[in-house]
Amino acid sequence: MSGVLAMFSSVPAFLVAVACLAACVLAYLLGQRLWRRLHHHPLAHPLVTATIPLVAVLFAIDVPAEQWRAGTQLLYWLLGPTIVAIAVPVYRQRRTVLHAARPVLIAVVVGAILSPLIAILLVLPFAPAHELLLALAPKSVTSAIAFPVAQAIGANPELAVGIVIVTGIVGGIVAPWVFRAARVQDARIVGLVLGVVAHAVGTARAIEMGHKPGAFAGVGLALTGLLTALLLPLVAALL
Amino acid sequence: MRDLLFGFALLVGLQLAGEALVRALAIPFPGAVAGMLMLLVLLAIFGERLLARIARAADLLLRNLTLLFFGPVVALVLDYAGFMPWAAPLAVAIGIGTPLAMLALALVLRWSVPPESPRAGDEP
Repeated sequence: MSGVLAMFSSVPAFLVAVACLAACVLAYLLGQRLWRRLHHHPLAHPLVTATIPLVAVLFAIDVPAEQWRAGTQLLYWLLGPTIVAIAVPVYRQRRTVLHAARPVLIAVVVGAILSPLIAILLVLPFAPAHELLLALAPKSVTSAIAFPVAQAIGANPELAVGIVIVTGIVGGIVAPWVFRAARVQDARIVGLVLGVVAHAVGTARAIEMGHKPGAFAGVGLALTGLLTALLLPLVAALL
Repeated sequence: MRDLLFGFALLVGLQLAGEALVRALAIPFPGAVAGMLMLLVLLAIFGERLLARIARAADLLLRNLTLLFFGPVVALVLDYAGFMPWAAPLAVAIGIGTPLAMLALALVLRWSVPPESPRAGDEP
C-alpha cells in the first residue's frame, strides 16, 4: 500500500502522519511570523528558519527520511490542486501580460533557457552525474511545477525542489546588487527578472518593492513555469 | 464554505482530467500542469463568474504553498549524505549561476525593452 492510503493502514502509521503534519503546520506558522517580522528577507524564509528546528528534532529522535515522507504524504498530495490553481493568478494578471507583452515574452523565453543553461555549463568542469544535470534543469521553475516536471524527466524531485528553493533565496539576496550592476530601475524589468529567475522567493521580494514589480514577478514566475513544463520533457528526451 | 468546496473539487477534478489526458497521450508532461492549462481555458470562457467561485480555494492553496514543501525539503536534508559528493558543483551552479543568470537577463531586457512612457496614475 502506498500514497495517502498508507497513512491509514495502521494506528502507528496514522499517529506518525498526524505528528508529522502537526510539526509541519506549527513550524510553518512560526516561520511565517518570523519572516513577516523580518520584512520577507530571503534568508529568513520559513523553509530555512523552520526546517532547522524540524530537522534537529527528527535527527534527535532518529526518524528516517522514509518515515517522514510517508508521514507527510498529504502535503505531497495537495501539491496537485495547488498547481492547477496557478491558473487563477495568471488569469487575474492577463491585462498586465497583454499590456507589456514584449518584455514579458522576452523575459520568459530568454530566462527559461538562460538560467538552466548557465547552471549546467558551470557544473560541466566537475564531470557531473547525469542525475545532477537533470535535477538542475528545472532550476528556475517555481517549486510547485519543478516537482512534477522533475518526475516527468526522471530527475530526483526532492533535489530539484531543494535547488529551486536555494536558487530563490540566493536570487532574493543578490537582487539589489544585480540591479545596481546592470543599472536597471524599470519596475517591469526588476519584477520580471526576480519572478523568472528567482520564482517564489524572488516574487515575495518584488512584492516588498511595490505593487508593480510584484505583479510582473508573479506573471514571470507563472509563465516561466508553464513554458518549462511544456518544453523541458521534450529537451530531456533528446539528452 | 460552499465556494471553497466547489473550488477545491474543481481543482482536484481538473488535476485528474490532466493526469488522464497525459496518460492517454503517453507524453512525459505533468498532469497537474495540463489541468492548469484546462483551468485557464475555462477561465477564458466563463470569465469572472467562474473566477469568483474558485478564487477562495485557489488563494487558500497558493497562499500556503510553502507549507507543502516541508515534506520534500526536510526529507532532502535528512538524506543529505547522498548529495554530499555534489556539494561543490551545486554551490557553483546556484551561488554563481543564479546572479549570472539574473544579470544577463536584466541586461537583455534593458537593451530590448524601450523605457515606459509615464502614464497618469502610475506609481513612481
